Amino acid sequence: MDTSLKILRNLMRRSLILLVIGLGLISIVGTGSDDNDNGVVLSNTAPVAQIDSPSDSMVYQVNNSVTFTGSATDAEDQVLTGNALTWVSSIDGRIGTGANFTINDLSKGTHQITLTAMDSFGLADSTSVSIIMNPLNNTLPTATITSPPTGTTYNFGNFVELTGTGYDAEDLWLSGLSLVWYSNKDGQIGTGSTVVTQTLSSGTHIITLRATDSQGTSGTATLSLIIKNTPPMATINYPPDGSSFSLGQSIPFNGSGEDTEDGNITGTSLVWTASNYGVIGVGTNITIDYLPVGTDIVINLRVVDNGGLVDSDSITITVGP
Amino acid sequence: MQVQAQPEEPHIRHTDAIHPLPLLTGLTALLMGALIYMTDRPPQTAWLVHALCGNLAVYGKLPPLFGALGNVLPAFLHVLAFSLITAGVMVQDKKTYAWITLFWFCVNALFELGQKFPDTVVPWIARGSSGSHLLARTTNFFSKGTFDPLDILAFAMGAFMAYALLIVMHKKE
Repeated sequence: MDTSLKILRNLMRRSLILLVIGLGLISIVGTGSDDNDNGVVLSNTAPVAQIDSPSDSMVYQVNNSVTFTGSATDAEDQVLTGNALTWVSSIDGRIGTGANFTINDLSKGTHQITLTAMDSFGLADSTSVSIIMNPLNNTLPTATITSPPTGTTYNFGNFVELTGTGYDAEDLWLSGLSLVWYSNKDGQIGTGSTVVTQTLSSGTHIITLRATDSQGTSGTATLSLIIKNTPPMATINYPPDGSSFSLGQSIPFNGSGEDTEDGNITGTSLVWTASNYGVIGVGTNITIDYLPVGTDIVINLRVVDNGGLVDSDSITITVGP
Repeated sequence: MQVQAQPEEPHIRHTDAIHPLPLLTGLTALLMGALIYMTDRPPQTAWLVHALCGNLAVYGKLPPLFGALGNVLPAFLHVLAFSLITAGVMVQDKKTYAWITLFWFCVNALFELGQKFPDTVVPWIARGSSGSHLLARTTNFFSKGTFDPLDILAFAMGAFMAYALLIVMHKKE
């Protein structure tokens, strides 16, 4: 009896020790950046917010009821509800929380309605629509973009000149701060009837001219522009083409990715592959010692820039027995 | 008046019992470590702390309690806390204390060093991970964490402090 009790206690003690060690190891990983003060946020997927109603550019008369409906999903928290969803108007400030509510006291003018969804890790996503609360008998202004034609393509860094007008039945021709230009990629890019910029990021932009009258209501016009993305350049610096190594020998690889828009490309945007193994690593520097024996093994470095353009560089090496 | 001496009980070391003093001291050190994440750092920088007590965080609402010390204190406290807790559930003698503190120093130091060589460590973990959530977090730890030599020093100090405390507690017992 005594012996079996002793064995049981021994077993329990060993389990307890293993549990403590396990918790210790988990807590090292679980406190992630506990050993640096950079505040690195370990991976958590941000939620995705969506406004179902009202639709963008809807016009209501002042004092009309407006129903707001939206949702947000999150990989970790699933469906977000309640205070995790916050609705803010650019004119009236915070107007409500949750997936659904109705109000009838929005101020006159064009409201940028933003739904912000925040997950339990504090990561947030926002989405917006514009709605117009139009005072009685007010005519909405109109906006017109006169140049450039929609679909015009520019090289990255070139000057882009945008010209447009705004007209309102009550205020007549609008100018200055009443005309605001936005890019869907870069945000506000200028005000007035003419705007010149050379800082548009690469990619396709939807450019919007918003003309706002003295009642705060607005009309918009849009066009699309393309800012060409230049491809990156991949270079394998080491080892030299045609190098030979022995089986099991550590082989260091060094490469770089240069891009006009992104500068020095690093990290997972550089992927190394070997023709007789597959992916062998990511980043500017890797060292491996497990390549199988082979001649004419093609080592490829593939670099992808933020615009999704790709370049590759290759060398051939030999791993001998 | 004659006082009759009571026969002295032989001193018995309950080597197979839980030892509350190192255990409780270790748990206190662990709580103090968690407090740093509540007050001095964004709680989402550590998923475990965030998941367990993220709602209690007062980061940003109060000035940092630990100042510059808060950068290395978690490293110090981790080795200290787990050395004491492990000793609390293990057989108690000086040699075991030395092994326990050395073990926790080495484990922490190896994890820290792994952050210096993520390109080597991450593919090695990735080969065995096959979708495990914890191993994915471990990969994150190595690929996103930053190696800090001061932490190695903090681990060593934590191990030394734990050993010294255990010896003092041992003598007291």
